[in-house]
Amino acid sequence: MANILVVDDEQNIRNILRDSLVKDNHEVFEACTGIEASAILNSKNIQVLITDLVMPDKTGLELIMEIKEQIPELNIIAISGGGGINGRFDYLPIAQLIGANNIIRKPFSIAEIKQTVANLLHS
Amino acid sequence: MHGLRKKFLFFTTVINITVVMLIIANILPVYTEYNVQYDKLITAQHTLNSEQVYSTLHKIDNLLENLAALYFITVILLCLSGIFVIDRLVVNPLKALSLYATNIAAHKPDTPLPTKRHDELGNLANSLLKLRNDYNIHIQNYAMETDKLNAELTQLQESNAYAKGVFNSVQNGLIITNGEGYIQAANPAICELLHYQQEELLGNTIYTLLPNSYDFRQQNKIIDFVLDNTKKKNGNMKFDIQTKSDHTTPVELSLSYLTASNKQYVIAVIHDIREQVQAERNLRYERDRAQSYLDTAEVAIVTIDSNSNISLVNRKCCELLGYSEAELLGFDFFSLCPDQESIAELRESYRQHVLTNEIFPKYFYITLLTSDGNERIFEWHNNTTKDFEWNTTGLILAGTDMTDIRKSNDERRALRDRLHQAQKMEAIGQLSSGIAHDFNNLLASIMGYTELLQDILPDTGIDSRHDYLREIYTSGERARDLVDGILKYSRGNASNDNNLALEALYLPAIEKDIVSMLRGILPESVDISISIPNDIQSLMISSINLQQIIINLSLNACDAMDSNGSLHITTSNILNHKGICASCCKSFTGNFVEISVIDNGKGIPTDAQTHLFEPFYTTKVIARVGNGSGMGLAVVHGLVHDANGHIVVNSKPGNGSTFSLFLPGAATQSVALEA
Repeated sequence: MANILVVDDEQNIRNILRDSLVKDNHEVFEACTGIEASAILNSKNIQVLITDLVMPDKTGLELIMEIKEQIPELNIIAISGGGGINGRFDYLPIAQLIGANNIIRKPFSIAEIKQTVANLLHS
Repeated sequence: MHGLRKKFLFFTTVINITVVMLIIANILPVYTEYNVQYDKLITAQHTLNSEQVYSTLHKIDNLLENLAALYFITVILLCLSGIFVIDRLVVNPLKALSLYATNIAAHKPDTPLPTKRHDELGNLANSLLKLRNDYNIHIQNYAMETDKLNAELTQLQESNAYAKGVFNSVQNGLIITNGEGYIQAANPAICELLHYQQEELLGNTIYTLLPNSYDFRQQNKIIDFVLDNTKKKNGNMKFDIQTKSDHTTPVELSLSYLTASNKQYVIAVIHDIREQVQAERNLRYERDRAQSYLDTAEVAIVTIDSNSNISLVNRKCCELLGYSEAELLGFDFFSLCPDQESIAELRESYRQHVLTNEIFPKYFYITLLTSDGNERIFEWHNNTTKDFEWNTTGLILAGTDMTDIRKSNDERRALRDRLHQAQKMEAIGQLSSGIAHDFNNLLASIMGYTELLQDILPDTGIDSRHDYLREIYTSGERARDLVDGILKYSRGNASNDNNLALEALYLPAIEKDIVSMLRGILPESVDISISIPNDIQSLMISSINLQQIIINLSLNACDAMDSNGSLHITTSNILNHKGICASCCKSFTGNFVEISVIDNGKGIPTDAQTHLFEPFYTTKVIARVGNGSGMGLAVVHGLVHDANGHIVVNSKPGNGSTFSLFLPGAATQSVALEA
């Protein structure tokens, strides 16, 4: 029903999100870094972005800020295991401040993810 | 009438009668003739025959002459007979008795009794016999007594010889005086010591032996000591004695008293102590020299004897303790320690060291009380002193006053510990944060795949695989809560930028919520009271976080009270408060709202208090998530510091605990000072 981009450096997280969302007839794209995600966003019509925040090469926060400039209407769900660089910041509230529509703390429940995506698509 | 008189009268009578008979026999014819002649005379006168008259007268005259002769003879005979009687009856027996007595006197006890008559001489003889027998008995007794006396005499003579020998040969001087102090005897040793001849000393008083340099009082003191045996003598007396050559020599005098023939004598034993005195002088010199070395040292030096009494102390020690040398000498060294309990083991160790040579610590720290009541910490290095038989006689201790150094070290150590603790807490925070992130990713995988499996596997209600999957998911949820706690803790160690959306929290507004929340989680056996004044400042902390803090502290309090006690929560505004945080170990100052959670439980052991806020540190026996996981206070630390607050803990084992949170009011900010 919608194109959803899942960005996470963890293969397992991507797999779980993909398999869960595919069941709801969404088309799921995967990226393991922020750079890969930018490329996909530029080439595909993505309606919902589910991104991790702590990633190599480009953090989720950078990705969100970049996207908010380029595609302000994109629905963004920030997911994170908590913590930040050297434990000095908790990125999730920050992600919300800079434009993430929703934040979900890992470990999440699939139902919560599906419900959040559904809510965003219907809003 | 006595026998002898009877005999005497008898013999005298017989002799007289004999004599009278003889006289009569002689005188009667004469008298008859006289009468014849007288008749013739008368007749002749009548006849005037002168011749006849003359012849008759002549015859009468002859007769008278015969009578006279007879009378003379009679007297002679009477005398002779008297002499004879006396000789026979008295003189001879007396001679025999005399001889008998002489023999007895001449120690011839076997002399036979001279007569067995029953008259006075017989009595005399019997008396002599009895006397002789008594005499013999006395002689025997006397002989026995004499033997005994002789034996005793011999013994006495031997004793006397021994005494004389001892008196003359003993190395110590001996002088015997009478009760007035006149010298009665002096042995060669004292004569040699004083350079006197024996006869020069005899008859002199003991004043002669006292030095001229002694004044009257000194002399009298010695004389009293010698002569007055009624006073109790405490040991011997040492003084100088004067020799013949007016020199003096040190002696030690010991006395004993003797009474003989009701006369009192003093036996004075005089020890020549020149060597001893010299040795003492040398010793004193060495000691003074050693003392001067000791006094030069800038460390406290003390020697103690086997009873731990101080036998020597140097200047520095006196200075440090504020006592004089005289006050410290003889004083029990360990008694100077104000906390006797703390040194009981050390004291016992020393006692054993003296008794059994057990090892005694070569150095130790003890606190001593100075004269002005202050306590000073000394580091004592010591060495055992021993006698010639290698028995432990005491210790020599060298002490350094460590009070200032120790205080400075303690402060430095406390500072270092706080810094170390702060660094540790921060490091744990950083580590926890990193771990939490990775852990949450792993948990997300586990729980996500579990959910996917649960979707694929139809829940028939009889397939146990679904139960297993549910257990996996539940465990994942518990692990998530745990990691959540770690994250909250780690946030407390980070500079806080997360409270951007916080609004001021007014405590009275949530008082009821707090009470009902606590009432719901704590057992009925715990009394709960909460005190929040209306003028309490608002706080910059989320209500959820504050409730989490109070829940965690209250659960700990409940455990400390074994679910039975009083939990009291008080709040107040504190101005210009200065303190040191028990969790981050940083000092803080400023205006705060103090929230105290007070319990009357068993308190926290001192050694546990420094680790209270470390993640996963728990004193509870059963460690399980939510109760004894070791994250309760770590979360409190995280949330309080997340709100820029600090925590102070007051707890003593057995006296309950108070956890005081110092949170900055909404209008103020605390000033954190780097430790």
